[in-house]
Amino acid sequence: MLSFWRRNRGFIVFSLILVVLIGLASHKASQQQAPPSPLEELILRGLAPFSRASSLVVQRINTFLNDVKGLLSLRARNYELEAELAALRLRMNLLVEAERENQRLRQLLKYQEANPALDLKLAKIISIGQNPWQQDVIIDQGSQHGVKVNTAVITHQGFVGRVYEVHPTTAKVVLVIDARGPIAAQVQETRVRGTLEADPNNPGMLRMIRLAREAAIRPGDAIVTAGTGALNLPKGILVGYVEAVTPTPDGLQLEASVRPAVNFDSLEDVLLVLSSEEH
Amino acid sequence: MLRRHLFFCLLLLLLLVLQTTLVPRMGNFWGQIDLILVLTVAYALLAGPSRGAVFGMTAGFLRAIASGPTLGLYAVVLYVIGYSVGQFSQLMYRKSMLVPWVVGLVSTACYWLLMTVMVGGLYGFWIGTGYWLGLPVSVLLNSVLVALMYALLYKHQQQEVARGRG
Repeated sequence: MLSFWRRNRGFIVFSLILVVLIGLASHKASQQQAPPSPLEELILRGLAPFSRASSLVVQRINTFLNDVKGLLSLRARNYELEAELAALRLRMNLLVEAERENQRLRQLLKYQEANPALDLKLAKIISIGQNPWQQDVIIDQGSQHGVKVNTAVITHQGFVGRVYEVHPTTAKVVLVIDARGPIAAQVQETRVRGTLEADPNNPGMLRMIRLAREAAIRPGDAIVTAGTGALNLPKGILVGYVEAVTPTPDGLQLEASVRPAVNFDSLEDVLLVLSSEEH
Repeated sequence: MLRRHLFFCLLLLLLLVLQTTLVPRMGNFWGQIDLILVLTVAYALLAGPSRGAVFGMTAGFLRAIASGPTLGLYAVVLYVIGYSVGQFSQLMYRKSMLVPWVVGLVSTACYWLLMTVMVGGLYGFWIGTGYWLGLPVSVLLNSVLVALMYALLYKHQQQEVARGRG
């Protein structure tokens, strides 16, 4: 008997513990609603801090492992997202550009509808020459599209300039703020006439000269094309607004500083006045 | 040799397109850059007065065709600039960036002066103080670009020589 115990001690202890545990489990399973015994309570209380600490450590380790795992895929994901973001940005820019172009064209269309007497044609600016001595642009319409020398170029804001050189598919436009761009102009309200030319002292500004000393012209007055002179430009197109009126150095005439109505820095689409019934 | 000429022609055309599309949209400050002038000065420093003058004239004509007041106006001015700058090509230590920078400063100022005289003489449009305020910025930007352009062209030339095409 003793020799049997000695030989199978390990197995016997293991089996007993297993039976006790099964018994305990089945007892607990049958009494789920029963309160825990004082012993259980005591053990649980004693173990709780350790369990909490252990759980915290395990949690941290789990988080760390997950982070490491995540980091491995994060770079690839980040790359994907960056590419996606770049594509979306590009798309958004294209949409914004399209929206702006739409707005510009709508404004030009509105101008065309409001001025049925003018035979207008849309043109795009494809090249810009801007420096102190030169203010001109090239448009994508030429003689094949009915453009001629001295065709007036405008936007919904006002007068831009006139065509001075025509090619089959393109044309060069001299802006009104260029040295070669003087035009006959008049004050819209009082019909006082003068010559409008680039101001040699103020880049981007115009000056109206040859005004009589008693001419009725004041700051804020709108200046429009006079429709006279050799250039044969249409009459009544807004060119700019008077900023200041001063006498000439000899005191015999007046001179007006005029701010152009058109913003030449953001010029992209223009209208060509192919013919005008008013003129 | 033909390859080299082709390289400069393509470079000139590229800069011409940039000058008439990109530069004017870069605002008042950066808009003072003149890439055609920069290339002419850098080329003349490398190639000498004769080639510099011919290059300047060609660049001027092309520029006037692309967008310009009068055919020949830029050609005259850039011809003079190309020839004058070319005179320095034999005097300078080729690897130095200082000389191209100084030459860029002086040539930009001369370019302004010549253009003012030409446009004033042709159209009676004499630019005043408002325009001249742009001169310091123009001189500074273009001179730096001349130095950089010269360094690039010099490097390119050395590579061509090393390959036996120079």
